[in-house]
Amino acid sequence: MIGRFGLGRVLSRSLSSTEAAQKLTIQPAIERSPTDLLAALSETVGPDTTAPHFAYIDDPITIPSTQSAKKTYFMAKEFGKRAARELAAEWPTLFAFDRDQPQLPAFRPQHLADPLQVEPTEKSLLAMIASREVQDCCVLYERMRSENVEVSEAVQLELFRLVTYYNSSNIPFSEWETFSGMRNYGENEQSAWKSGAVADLLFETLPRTDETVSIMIAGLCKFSDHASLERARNLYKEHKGKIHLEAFNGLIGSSSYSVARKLVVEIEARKIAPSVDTFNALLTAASKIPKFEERVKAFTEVIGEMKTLNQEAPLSSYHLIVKNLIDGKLLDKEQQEDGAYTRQLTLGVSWLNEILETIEGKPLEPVTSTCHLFFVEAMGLLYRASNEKLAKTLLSIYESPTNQVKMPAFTIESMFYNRYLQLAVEQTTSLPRIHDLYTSMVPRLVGVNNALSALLYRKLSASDRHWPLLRRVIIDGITSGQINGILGEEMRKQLCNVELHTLNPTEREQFTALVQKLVAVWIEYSKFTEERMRRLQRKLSPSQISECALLLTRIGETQKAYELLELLLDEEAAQGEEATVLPRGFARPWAMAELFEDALRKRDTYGAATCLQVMALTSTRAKLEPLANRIMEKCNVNAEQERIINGFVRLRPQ
Amino acid sequence: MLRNLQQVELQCCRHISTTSTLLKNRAAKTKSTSNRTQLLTYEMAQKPHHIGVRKSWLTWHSQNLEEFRQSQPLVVAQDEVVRRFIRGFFPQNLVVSGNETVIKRRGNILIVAGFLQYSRRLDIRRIYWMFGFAEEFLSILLKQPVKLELAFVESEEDVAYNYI
Repeated sequence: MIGRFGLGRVLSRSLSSTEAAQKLTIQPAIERSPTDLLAALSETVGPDTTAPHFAYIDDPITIPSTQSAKKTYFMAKEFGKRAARELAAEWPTLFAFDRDQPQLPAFRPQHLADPLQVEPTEKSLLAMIASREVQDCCVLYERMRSENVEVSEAVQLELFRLVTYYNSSNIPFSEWETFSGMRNYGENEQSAWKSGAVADLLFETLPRTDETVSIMIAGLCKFSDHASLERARNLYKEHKGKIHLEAFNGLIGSSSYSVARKLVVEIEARKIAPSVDTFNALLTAASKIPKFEERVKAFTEVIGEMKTLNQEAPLSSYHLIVKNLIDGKLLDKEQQEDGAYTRQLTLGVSWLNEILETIEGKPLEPVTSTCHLFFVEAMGLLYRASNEKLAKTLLSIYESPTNQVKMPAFTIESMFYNRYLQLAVEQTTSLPRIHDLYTSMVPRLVGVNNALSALLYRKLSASDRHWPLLRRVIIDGITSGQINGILGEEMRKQLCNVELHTLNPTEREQFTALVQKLVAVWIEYSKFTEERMRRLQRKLSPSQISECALLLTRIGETQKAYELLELLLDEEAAQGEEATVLPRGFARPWAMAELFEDALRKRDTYGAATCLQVMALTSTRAKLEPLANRIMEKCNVNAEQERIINGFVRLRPQ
Repeated sequence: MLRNLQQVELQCCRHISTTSTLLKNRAAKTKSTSNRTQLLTYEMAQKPHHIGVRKSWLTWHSQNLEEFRQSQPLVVAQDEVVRRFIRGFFPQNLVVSGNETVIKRRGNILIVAGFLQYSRRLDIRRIYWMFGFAEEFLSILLKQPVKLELAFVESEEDVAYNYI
């Protein structure tokens, strides 16, 4: 009891003394937004640059290496999703596990209304217009007309806006909202104006107002061919009222620069403020000027005009300039002989330098749908000019957190990074740096491709050895189907050049495993002799056999090596339907020489004799005699064997 | 004589059994086989008294946060739906009969994790299609985003931690 009282006294004393010493104040809570925690986490963690893109299954066999594999896998997943949504739309009652409050429409897919089944009312038509089902709208409208259902002018105008904007066709893939694969990979052909379709019908039905005429002109210019442009110009000339800016933009973009300038004067006279699209249309008109100097002068004029009007140029304007600075015909390598290409390229780089200085550090936001194309076009120009410094600046601008303009992954972004990577690899001689760059970008951002692999092999041949990079490039080559053909040959050449004594024990194990794997794959490919598998078959060439035998000897698999070499001596292996070896070509002399020396070192009579026989396929007696003498010197050859070897050499042609 | 024998038997029956076998905890312990062929994954190999220590991460979830709370019966029903679907949809790829699927709840997202093995004819496009289908199908069914985090092993033996 006493102890307990004592403790209480001590506690109360210490509490009161603390209270006297400092006043306890509770800090107000720091106000944080719901995403602050996520932002802090992302700053701390950061992306794993060596991991695959998050859209793919993170497993070695399911990670795509090439661009085509990325497309195939992404689309396969998306088609699976579409199939599930289709099922749910077809049998909604089977998915009625309805526990969500409030009910979420995203998880209740529904079929679109059938224009031939829905009630032919304005309400249905407006609902279809809102969902942008253009062709369904057209069908419903025509059905309503045939059933004599009255459609008000306002609804007709709404429909007219939609069908003119999309040329009476469904919305293009690039505007699909739900399925990103179709949005990125789907390709629409540039269509010409559909004459006599619902848009024309509505235009004739509706009264000619400024708005309807403007919409029609804009539509005709958007889907322009010779006839539609002529019609748009006639409409413009005939209409006495006030044409809207969108129609002017269409007319400017589809005219020559001199006509476009006149139209701009017209805009000014009518006191219409130009928009970003007007300037872009003007730049499009300027890009049609064939003469380089005049074209650059026109670009300068347009940019100057934008500055005068305090209009900040969006990235799409810069894209139009960068894209059209160099003459199209000069992009062919054959045409680049004279100085014009160099002059235009130099000017292009200085324009780009100015542009990058202007946009660096500024928050960038998408203004038009083509803003993101600036980055890829600019990187293309810098790649041509081999300007790594500016390319780095461009990359840092693109990757900075202030930039909101992002390219779609797997398509345009991949091109951007591929160009940067190729440029960086070409400009550096440091293999460790190339290794870092390569592992951080391939295959997450850049798909493995033949040009890149060939470039890396070139670099690897030119500099000192770098086993991790070589191994990585070869493994990527295997996963992306480069194992046959020129790059497969390059793989063998690179592996033959590896000096095994420079590798540490782990690397040697890796080397052994890689050689075993490659040789096993090549042999398997050669054995696809059955009728249904023959299209996959890649026969072994004599040079390939000699190189593989050399590699196998280096990793200690001598028996396997000689089994391979024997294929060269077996005539049946190159003949008939079951052939696994190509009948033409020769074994590599340097590989055979090394194999021969190796056999002599080991005093292997059988091995040395096999090498001699293979070499005899391409050598004369004079060359073979010293080799035969060496076999007899080095190996334990008995009299019978000596007689056979001498006889073999004597029978060779001189 | 016979009467005496009967008394002896009765006395035996009255004894209380105190043999150690009845004190043993047998629940949740996998029965071993005579030839050690019963495969155990790492999770299966944990003894019941280790569950709280070595398998506690499997119980972490965000269902006790405001706005993510779901009733227990609903969670149990969802789990059963997911497990049955995975078992039925990937019959060729299941390991340990699909009993070792882990279902994680993170916010409003439901993540299905575990292992699958390569099927006889390995077509990666087909795998992607099936993943897309399964994710969307389960999302629509459970009215919340569902993600699959299933990794592939070459054969069931790769997930073996022990054989008993």
